[in-house]
Amino acid sequence: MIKLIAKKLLRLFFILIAVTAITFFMVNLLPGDAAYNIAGPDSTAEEIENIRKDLGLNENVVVRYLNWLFKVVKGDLGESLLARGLVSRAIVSRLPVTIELLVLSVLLSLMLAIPFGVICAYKPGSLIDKAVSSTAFGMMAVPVFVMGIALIYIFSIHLRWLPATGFSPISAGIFANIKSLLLPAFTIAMVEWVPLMRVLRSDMITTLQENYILMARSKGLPAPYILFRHALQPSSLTLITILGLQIGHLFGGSMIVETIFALPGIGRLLIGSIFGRDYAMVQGCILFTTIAYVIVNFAVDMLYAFLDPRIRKQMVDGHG
Amino acid sequence: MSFNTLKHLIPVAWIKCCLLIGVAAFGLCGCSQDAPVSKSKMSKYGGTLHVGTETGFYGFDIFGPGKGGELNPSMATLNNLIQEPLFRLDLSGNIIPVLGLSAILSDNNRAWDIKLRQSVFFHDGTPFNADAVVLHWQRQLDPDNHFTGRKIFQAIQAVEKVDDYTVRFVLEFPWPPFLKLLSDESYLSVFIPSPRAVKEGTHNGAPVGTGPFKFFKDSPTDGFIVVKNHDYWQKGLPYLDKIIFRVLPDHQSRYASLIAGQMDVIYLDRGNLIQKADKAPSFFTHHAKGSGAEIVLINMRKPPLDDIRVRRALAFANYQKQEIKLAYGGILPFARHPLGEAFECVNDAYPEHDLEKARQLIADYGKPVIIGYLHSNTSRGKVIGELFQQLCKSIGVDLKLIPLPANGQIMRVLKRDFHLATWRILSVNDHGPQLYRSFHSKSPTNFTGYSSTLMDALLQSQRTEMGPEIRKEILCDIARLINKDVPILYRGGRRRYIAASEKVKNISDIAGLTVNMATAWIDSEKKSRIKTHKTVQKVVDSFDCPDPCKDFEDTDVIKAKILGTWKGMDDWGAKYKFIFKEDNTVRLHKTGRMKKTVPYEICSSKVYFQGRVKLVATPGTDKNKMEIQWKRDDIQGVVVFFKGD
Repeated sequence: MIKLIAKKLLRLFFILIAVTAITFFMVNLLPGDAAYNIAGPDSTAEEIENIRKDLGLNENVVVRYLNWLFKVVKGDLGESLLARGLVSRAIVSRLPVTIELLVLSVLLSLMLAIPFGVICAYKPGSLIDKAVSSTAFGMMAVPVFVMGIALIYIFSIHLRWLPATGFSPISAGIFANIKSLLLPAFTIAMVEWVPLMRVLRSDMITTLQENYILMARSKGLPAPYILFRHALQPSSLTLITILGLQIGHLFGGSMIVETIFALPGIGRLLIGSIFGRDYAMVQGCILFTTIAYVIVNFAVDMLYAFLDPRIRKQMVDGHG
Repeated sequence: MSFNTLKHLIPVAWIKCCLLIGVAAFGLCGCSQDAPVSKSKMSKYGGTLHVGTETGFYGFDIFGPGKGGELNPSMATLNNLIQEPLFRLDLSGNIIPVLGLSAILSDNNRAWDIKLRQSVFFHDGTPFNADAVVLHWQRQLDPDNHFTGRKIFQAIQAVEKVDDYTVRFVLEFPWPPFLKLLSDESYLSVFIPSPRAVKEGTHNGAPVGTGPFKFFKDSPTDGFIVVKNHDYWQKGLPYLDKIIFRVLPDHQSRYASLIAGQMDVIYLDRGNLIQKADKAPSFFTHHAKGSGAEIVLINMRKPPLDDIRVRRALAFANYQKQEIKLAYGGILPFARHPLGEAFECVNDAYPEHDLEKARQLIADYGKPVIIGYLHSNTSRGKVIGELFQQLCKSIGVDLKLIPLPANGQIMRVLKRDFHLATWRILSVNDHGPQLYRSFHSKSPTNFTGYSSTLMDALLQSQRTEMGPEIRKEILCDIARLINKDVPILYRGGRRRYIAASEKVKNISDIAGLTVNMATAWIDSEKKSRIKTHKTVQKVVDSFDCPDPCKDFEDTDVIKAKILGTWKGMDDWGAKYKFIFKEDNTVRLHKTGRMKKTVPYEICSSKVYFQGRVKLVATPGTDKNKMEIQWKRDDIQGVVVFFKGD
């Protein structure tokens, strides 16, 4: 197991180097840099040059990347070029929003995906299966921003149940906090639950054909008991994989949802920094997202072992 | 509603206390030491104002936000609440005193002595005096600091302390726009910060000024919060306890926040939403007349744009009216010159849209015209690009669209690597310095490469001409020459819009694009979003049950008539279900809004009860139909209900 963790950590290191380097060079390829943003349109070439010099933007891109990397190794993510604040502080201040949004949207996705997936698998090809599948694909086809605006119209403007925009921190009360995140989380969940439901349905149909399920049926066990006690766990491996990818992706923030609902999360910070060519902030956000992504996927691998004794055995034996 | 229509609501003290002190050219007036606010009978103290803006806030120190201390409208509005300038402009363009009391020009027109207001303190307790003003200006003027906003105030050579409450601005040459620029609230340079906060390096993130509100908190989750300055020098102000600015980047959801009552004031710049807000009786839209213009730069160094025929052809092809309609939803004024809609120039030589003339000029030129057009890569930018591309195509010009993000576009323009590029002339109090920087042949920020001896001479003379009428005519001559030589095309004028809920009162404006919220107050009783009912048929004498009720005769008859379920729908489509019960209670149900049980009383053939509004039911002869009248504050109406489940 220790060998496995060490292997994963080594892989994490190379992934981090690759992702941050690629991002750094890609952002550098975009036209314009932070100096133009700081100086504004009514500037002279000399003024731009002075700002670039102050910010160190005149250096070669490789040198700048290496400088950044050495600082990161020392635990310093640097300062934002535009907001003039510490990158780490900016990320930490937005972390609660992103994590809460992630947890809530994943919970809502699972709340939709698991029951519907199980029901559809139990009676594949039935009317309910077709109805759920069609609805799910319909929802998946709706762009997130349309879904967000539609939900705002229904729940904020018409019914006035939930706030249209903004985030209330937990310090403002747990109820206000959840209320402020329900619509954005639901917007994400409405799209994310569909693949989860589909893979669960498909895996479960296979599981339900296994002999031990037949045995359970022949023993006269009730259908819900068979489905949720005996069939769900072994059918969840692909679901967990997809969920892991979704969580990793959501750690980077859902830019569109955060923008529509004016949530101060990592996604909005990242997109603002890309537009402003705030390299330090972009790199900080990307580094954070990559680490989160890799850790989540590592956790998913561990979860496989928990869910499936065969995989656990393989890992312990060193074949994993 | 425009700002002008609100003029009468502005606390008159700001204007009333002014005394003309002989600098009539600039309409400058002095002000007494204490400037009491004449409190309107209706104005109320307390409350929190929630403001939704599109862009964030990047710092309050002149070296903090970059862009030479130039502020965007929402930033300028917020900054105005915390920091104050020496002077401001009123709606008529007169200079009114703020931290400065008077300004006297020296005999040689090269120095201004400004008297400062006494007994004013910064929020951190530091006294406001000449030292604070001098320190602030010396930071900007010091060449070692490389302050990029220096060029705006380039004529200022030095700022000296005369005594504790007098400062002298020494000019390089007689400079007529001095006071107007010193009153220009779109530049951070004109606001005086606390010397202590600047020295401690905290001013950028936690600004300290002398304004009516104090910085309280800036966090991504809670927003930017300012709280009332109880020791504000202008007695009686401000009315509000707190203002919270939140960044809501998406236009649709920002507007939805206003409708949902989460926001009280929002910035708007989408035509469809402004029109919607304009039509909604629950909101007031305000717009500030700005100057400057949305333009297209023409790079006159690059062929074929070095030929006047091609440039004039593009000007005639340009269909500004259509662009304003399609790209801006009709919300911008038509720009005939860069001096703003309030600046009138007779015979401005504006090239009106005329495709025939444009075709003729291209035919005269006789060579193929292929040019690139840098425009923003936003959806609005694409509309702008595609519209002009079609117009150019119809006159035989091949226009290649080059959509770019903002800083990519700025980079290309600064490198002079463009044919045409969308740009803007800023909204400022005086356009002289900006025109000089943009069109003088020797200016390093003359991006169009425009070079004309006549233009240079005009630009030079407006710089030093002290006679306001003569100077105005020179500025008009400059505008005419621009329209004739076409170094730029116009895409529209500049205007800023906000929409406010009806409970927000007295949002007065100031010149330029900033909104003055210091005088705003909230009518806490005006929480209703019920619109004025236009079809009130009859009104009962009172919406309150008479106390004591003297008429008991028909109670049982009325009760028998009303018992059961009644359904109705108001003019806005909201559905209601009222269930009158035997135990003298009524269950009120409005779809999606309200569900509650309240008691009812029968008196004089009417049924009185109260939900969110006061209600009076009047059962008629038709046992299946009943009118229920409602009243909230001074708004009332009638909804017809029908019996049945």
